[in-house]
Amino acid sequence: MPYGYDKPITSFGKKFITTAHPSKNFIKRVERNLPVNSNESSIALKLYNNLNSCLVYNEEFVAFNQDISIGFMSKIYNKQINEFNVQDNDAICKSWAELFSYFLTRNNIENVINDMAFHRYVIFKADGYVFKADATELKESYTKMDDLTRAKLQLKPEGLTALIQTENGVEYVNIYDLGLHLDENIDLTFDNFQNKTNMLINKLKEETNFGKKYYEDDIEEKFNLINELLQEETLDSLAGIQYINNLIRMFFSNDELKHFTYNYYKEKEGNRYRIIEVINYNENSKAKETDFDYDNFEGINFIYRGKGLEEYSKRKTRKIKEASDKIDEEVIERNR
Amino acid sequence: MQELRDLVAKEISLYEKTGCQNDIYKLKKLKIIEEIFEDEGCFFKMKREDALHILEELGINNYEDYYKKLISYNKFQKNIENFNI
Repeated sequence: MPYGYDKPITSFGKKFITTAHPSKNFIKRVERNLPVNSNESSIALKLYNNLNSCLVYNEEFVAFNQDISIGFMSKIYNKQINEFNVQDNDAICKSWAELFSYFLTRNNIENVINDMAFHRYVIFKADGYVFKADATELKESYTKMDDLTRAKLQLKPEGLTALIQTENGVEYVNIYDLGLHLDENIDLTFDNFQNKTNMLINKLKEETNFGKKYYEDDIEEKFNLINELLQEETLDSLAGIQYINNLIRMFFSNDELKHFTYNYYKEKEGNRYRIIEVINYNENSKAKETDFDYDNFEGINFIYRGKGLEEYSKRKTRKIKEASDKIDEEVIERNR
Repeated sequence: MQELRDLVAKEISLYEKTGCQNDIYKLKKLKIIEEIFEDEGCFFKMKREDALHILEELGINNYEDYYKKLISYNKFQKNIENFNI
């Protein structure tokens, strides 16, 4: 039985009212292929998925274990909604909630942001249910990923849940498990972008005797290949992350992707800690469904964001420096 | 990418000229591959093993190294508009 639909929405939190807007380009990207004629939950889900694929974490922020010192909070919480544009897509729980709330209001879905504790998420009403949307919380499932990361690995979201009254109290049920009639186009977004090519390849496999030989590399070799590819390039942060995710999708099968987990560790850097994000592959990770262990780096690890990318940018600056040195030499020679 | 397209076009014309019954499968394959190659970013949309099959099919030496060049970051950036990102 749905919980709380008869209650006023303001009993769950505060309405978010703003005069600031994200950039036009950003709005266009989030509202891409919106099922306008469908039900409210389909619209909300589509907005949720699109927004998550557009945003990355602010480097200094992690949903759990966030630094709550006044300096850090004021620095990061004072970010305005209109500071988002195509180049600068970083988010923390508060800015994520504000953005999602902004887009729901824009599409006439009643919503509030919770005002309890430090963590922020969005509550909204749609199709007879009260939903909780939280993309910046690590889920206690075996993947240990928040929806910001999941969206980029083309995995279904786990953070959009409905409040359901049961004998044991209120429980959160995933929107996909409610049996709602969701718009057909929503699921397609997860593999939409490679549809045509894959369709043709399937045709190639069906109609001809193509693909008898099977190239089976072990996982470690695939990881090495990715690292090898990355080392040859200089990556800037957002496009770099998209590139890495793309490589992961190309190199690993859907079954292998299930064993991927998102993890992080802290590294001391002078007076402060830096968060290094890691993609971990562990064949036994399914068995640890209930075990919520942050420092589990068994299996193969792969640097997703953090130190790795920083090293590449260092290399980039070195290249620029070398180039400018060359110019200096030329100038000196010319002046002789 | 253009190099590959030229290669496929050349092969197709070769097989069409001979018109041998045994070559029908090969021609069918090449036609589908030609269609796949219309998309500039196609190598970013298919699985690695499929890409390797195709390159091997076209008779490219060192197809693994060739594949690495096709999926480099520079190529990715050029094709970024084709992706749903």
